[in-house]
Amino acid sequence: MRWAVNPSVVWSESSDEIRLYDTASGDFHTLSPTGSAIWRRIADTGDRDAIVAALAEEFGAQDDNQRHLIANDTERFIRGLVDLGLIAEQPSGAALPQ
Amino acid sequence: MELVVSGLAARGRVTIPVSGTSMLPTLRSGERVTLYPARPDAIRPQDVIAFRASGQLGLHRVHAVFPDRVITAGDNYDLFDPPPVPMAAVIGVARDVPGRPAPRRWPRQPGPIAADVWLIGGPADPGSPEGGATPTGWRLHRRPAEGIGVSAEVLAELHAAAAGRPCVGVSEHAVHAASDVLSGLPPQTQVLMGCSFGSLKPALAQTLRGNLVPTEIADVFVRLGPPEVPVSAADALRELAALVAPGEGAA
Repeated sequence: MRWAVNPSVVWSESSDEIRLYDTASGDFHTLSPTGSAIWRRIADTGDRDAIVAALAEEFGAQDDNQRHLIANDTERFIRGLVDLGLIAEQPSGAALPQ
Repeated sequence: MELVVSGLAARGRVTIPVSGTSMLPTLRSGERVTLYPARPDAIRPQDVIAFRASGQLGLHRVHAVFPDRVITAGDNYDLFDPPPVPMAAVIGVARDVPGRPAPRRWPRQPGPIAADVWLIGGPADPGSPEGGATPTGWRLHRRPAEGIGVSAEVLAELHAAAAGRPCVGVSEHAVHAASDVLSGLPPQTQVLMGCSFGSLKPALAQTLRGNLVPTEIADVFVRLGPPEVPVSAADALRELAALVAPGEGAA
């Protein structure tokens, strides 16, 4: 499954957080350091499995149970972004919008 | 704010939330407006623009445009924003924002007008024509300026004069032209001219000599010339008299 940032969203990064601005709705959001790590990977690859694998490595998951927890948390966070209209699911094989 | 700037550059239009009360009653906090890129030569009076202001995003109405700056004010204020907005600080223009409601007009009064005109910082020579001739029945009170405004004693005098009486503040910084507001002056109107209106943060007020005259003292502010163009006391009195007491001779 792939995700892509909504074209109406712009963002800026500081050392430990990302600020998002949806230019269509006028909403601003600030992501936590963990949320920022997920956002960077959504913007980078958009691939769910790759995001979970990278986060598991970044946060030092020791076993399948920890990897499962990271996958669940990531899924929940991504669903929240979808509900806010900040990202959208991409059909398989679709190119990321520019 | 930089996200708005980058979003506008990337998307060509952005939506921003309104915050604060400065644009009441036209825009309420929480409302959204759509911004478009602003070409300096396309900015016109009555446009609502977004601009950089002390690290924040301002959203106010344009009242005059100069090549290098824009004179703005919130619709909830009667005086222009200090200082003017540099043209380079303008970020975008909001379309589809309703116009500012027209000010309440002061109707013409029957009979002769008896008004008190308080002239701050007038010429030392009371007989100087710069002091201004007044229509019959008007009383002219000259008081010296002090520092950034007036002394505490003069400020107290102005407060006492305006208490419970109609009060008009005359200033080149006023949003409304006098001709848009004044057809007459109610009895006992106090007219304040030459004052610096506003307020200072306490820390700044302690370092400066003199006092600004609080805006709350006046019921309405008007200007007797173009925006931000000072008018001499003599001309101001003449213009005011022509508006509210046409045909009356000057004493």
